[in-house]
Amino acid sequence: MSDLLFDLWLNFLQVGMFSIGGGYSVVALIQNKIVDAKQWLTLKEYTDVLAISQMTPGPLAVNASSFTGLKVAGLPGAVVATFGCVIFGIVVSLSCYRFFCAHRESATVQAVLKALKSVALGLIASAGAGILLLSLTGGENEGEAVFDYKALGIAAVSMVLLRPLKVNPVAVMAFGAVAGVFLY
Amino acid sequence: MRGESLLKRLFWLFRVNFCISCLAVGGGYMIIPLFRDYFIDKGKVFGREELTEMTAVAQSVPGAIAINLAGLAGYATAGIAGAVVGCVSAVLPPLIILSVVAAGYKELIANPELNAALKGMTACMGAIMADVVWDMGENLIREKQSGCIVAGAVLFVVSFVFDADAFLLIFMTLGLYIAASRIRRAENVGSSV
Repeated sequence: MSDLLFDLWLNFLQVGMFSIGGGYSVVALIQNKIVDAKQWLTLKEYTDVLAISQMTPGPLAVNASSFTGLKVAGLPGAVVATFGCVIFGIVVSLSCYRFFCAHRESATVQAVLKALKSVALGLIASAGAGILLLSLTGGENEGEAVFDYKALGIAAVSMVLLRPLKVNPVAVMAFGAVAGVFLY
Repeated sequence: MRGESLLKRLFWLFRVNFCISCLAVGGGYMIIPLFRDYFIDKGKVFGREELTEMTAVAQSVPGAIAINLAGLAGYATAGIAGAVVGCVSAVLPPLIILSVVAAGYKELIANPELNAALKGMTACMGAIMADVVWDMGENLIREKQSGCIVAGAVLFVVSFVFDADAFLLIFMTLGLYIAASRIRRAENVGSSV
């Protein structure tokens, strides 16, 4: 049992270490490690996890590690896998942030911070554009891209609610959910 | 929140992070506007520039941005203990919900209403992320770092249109910025001699 828990921890630690850039880059990584190499999940179960992950709060990597850990080794497995998955990112981001705060006046640190801001801006925009594209072209049938005017409408109204009207993002999400139930 | 005792700050952190994490349906990026609402507008723990910096660090290092950001915001609120509380309280809701849902998830996925709601929420998510990007851009202009916006736009095209590897982009951008700052410094030294 403790061997299995350690194995879970080690594999999800690796998922956490190599998932960089956010968005959906982590999807292939988890499939590679957990489905193909360790066979803790079947491919069907993994696609189910992707679906559940969209319906429940939390990042995909955390949801996938909780689900896999639970299936393989019960609640201890879920806890071990989840914390394995997040620990590396937390330690690295804290170390970087502390270092940047301590050496704020250094020209190199200023350059690094500017670089990271540019990257974050670009990558978040890219992930957002990806999500928008997915919702605009996600037709009922696989492979057949149909332009979805309802999704465009929901996105446009959300944008108005968020920017000029400054509505709370949670309320905007609730609006999206209700509009979805009525429109689809 | 800044003047309160450590225990009070930790308790506040746990409550706020737990709530934010419960509300962040639809992926990790949802957490950024919620952090803005709770930590800046309500808690007044840090400012917008700091959130932009934390977001930049959380996005550029390995791991889920939401969890990294929760750790950093916790650190800014109450030091290392705050980082631990922030991380644990952000992870707990998905962990608990997944453990409960795992037994009956087949019905959940097949539910047509839930799938329709999900479609609406995905469209919403796109708008929320556009809002996050807008916010970051606004802060960068306020900090007089408009160059970052130009670089960000180039990175967006390279990442979205050409599907470039994020790891590669981060390292190339870091290299270019550091090289540029070195060259500028060398020129300044040269001209002052």
